[in-house]
Amino acid sequence: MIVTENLTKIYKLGTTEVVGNKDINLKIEDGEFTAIMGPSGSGKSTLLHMVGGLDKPTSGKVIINGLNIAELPDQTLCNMRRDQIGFIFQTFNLLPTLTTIENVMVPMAPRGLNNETRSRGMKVLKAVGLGDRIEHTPMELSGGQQQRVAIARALVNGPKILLADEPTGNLDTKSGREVLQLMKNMNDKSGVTIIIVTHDPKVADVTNRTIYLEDGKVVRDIRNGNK
Amino acid sequence: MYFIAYKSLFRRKLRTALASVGVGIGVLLLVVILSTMLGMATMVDDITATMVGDIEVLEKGQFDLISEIDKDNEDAIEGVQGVFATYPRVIGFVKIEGVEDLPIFGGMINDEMLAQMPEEFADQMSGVRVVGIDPVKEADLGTYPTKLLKGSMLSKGDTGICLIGPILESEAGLAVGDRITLIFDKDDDGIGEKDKHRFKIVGVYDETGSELKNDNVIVNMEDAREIKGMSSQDVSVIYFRADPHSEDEVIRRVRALVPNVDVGGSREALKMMTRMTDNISLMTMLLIVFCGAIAFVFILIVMITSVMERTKEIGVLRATGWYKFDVLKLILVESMLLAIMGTVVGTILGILALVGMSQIFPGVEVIITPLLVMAVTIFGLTVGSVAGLYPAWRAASLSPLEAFRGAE
Repeated sequence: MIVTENLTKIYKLGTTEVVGNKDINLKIEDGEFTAIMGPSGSGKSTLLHMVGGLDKPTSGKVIINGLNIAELPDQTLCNMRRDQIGFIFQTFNLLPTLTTIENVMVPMAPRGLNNETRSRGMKVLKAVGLGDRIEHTPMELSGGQQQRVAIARALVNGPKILLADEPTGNLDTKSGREVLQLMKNMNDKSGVTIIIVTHDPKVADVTNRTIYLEDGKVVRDIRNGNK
Repeated sequence: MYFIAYKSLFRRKLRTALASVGVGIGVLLLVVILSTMLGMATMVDDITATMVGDIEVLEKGQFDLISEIDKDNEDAIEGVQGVFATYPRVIGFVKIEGVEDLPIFGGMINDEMLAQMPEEFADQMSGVRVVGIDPVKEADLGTYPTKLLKGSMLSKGDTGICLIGPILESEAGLAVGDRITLIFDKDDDGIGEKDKHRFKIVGVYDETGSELKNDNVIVNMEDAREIKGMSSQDVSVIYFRADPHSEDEVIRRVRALVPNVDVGGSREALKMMTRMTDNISLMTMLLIVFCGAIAFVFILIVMITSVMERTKEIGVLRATGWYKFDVLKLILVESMLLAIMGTVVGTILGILALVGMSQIFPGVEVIITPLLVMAVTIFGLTVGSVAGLYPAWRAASLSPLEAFRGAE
């Protein structure tokens, strides 16, 4: 379960203070597929980054499985990001020189690669429908395929949480729909908790909860009833 | 992780190639400089090895082959305060009948260098030094020869016998028991019977560490005088031994006592040589620093550019669980790979340049040893890791979010 308590993020730009998030209190149950929506600058990505341990809150807590991750040392946070949290980005962020399988194995690379890690990479690539593209570089894949590689990379260590920052933002409608369906399948089959930041109202069709932010605050929290 | 470093490096092939060439130029210069400096230092060491030891007294303005001084000066020098021992020598430059192409100065002057000299001069160079000694005095002092390889030593009063250096044994095929004829044109009137002197080789001596002394013929002083046509009152050189701590003072006393002589000239040359060696070492160090700076700057520029270009990727690596140390290691591995490539290119080009140099300038001694190659490799890797440190630290200290934002 992910819990945020009075989660606040304030950026200082010179003498001006800009509110990223203000007093956000949320409880996201294991296995939930949650969309975070809102206009640009409403604090969606900021919230996602703090939940994923990429950014530290100014005040408040992010509690994952009973641990306030805002207080964890860097190495413990790294371990958490590697083993428990997967990230998906709008621009895919694949390493352009690496092949599909190599990109998927990136999270495991520092601890050493072997046949076991490779077969794990192969398995997730097959799961996202790219088993026949393992030696292709990102340049040789379509946008939808690249995002699926990014999803495979996020899933390779079997995380309990998947955080996606506008994963369909750079995709055409068809590819976007496929990627969303893929995430929905992961959520249904593996029970992975997914939080997706999006502008796309159609995302609500596959999520079972939508949280709306405005000016860094939660203004609506709707259960969609999709399950 | 290594495959990521390797592939990242080859993302910009031209840049990597240029950086390798840049590092290679530094390494190439280093190989050439170290090798020639090593050659020069070895040559200087060889020469200085012949200068250490006892202090010589020669006729003013002459060198030992020409010098003639009164042997009574030896008694005067022996009486100087601070002088422990003295011994005279008669030295000449002779040809050995039937023996051609002798190594000159222990092989320091090779055939190519000889070919560049005027024919007349080159002809005069082909010969050996004959050294006339007082066997009893030299044996007592343990001066020359210090070691006998074969046969027997000279005894006082023995005439018509000689010792030869091992170079003459190996290069000229001479052996104990052989008879040789030494030729010296004493009156400058062409070679006649009076200029030929026959000797039986009774032993082979060894002065290891000093090749210049290993191609001599050693005879009794009386025989040497006979060869050179010198009066029995004269010798070529008188050596004396003094306390090293008061050497300069003793040299001054001898100079004051004995007129028309040069005292300790080789000591001055030795001091000059030592200064020269010191300067060579200093210059080598400066050039190494310069070569290091070239390689360092190339790697630094490439790695900083690479890190700046890949800020977002570094953010991704951190977001997927890489430790700061992992990022640091990745960038360091990349800079090391760059250094290795540059070192390999530079070492190969350096060796080729040295081979070319030794063909064009035969007199330049170049030395390529496994130790030199190892030193250059260590140098390359050290420069690579040091130059990679700053970009690696910079990359590792980025927080994942900073990295993402920095790239936007």
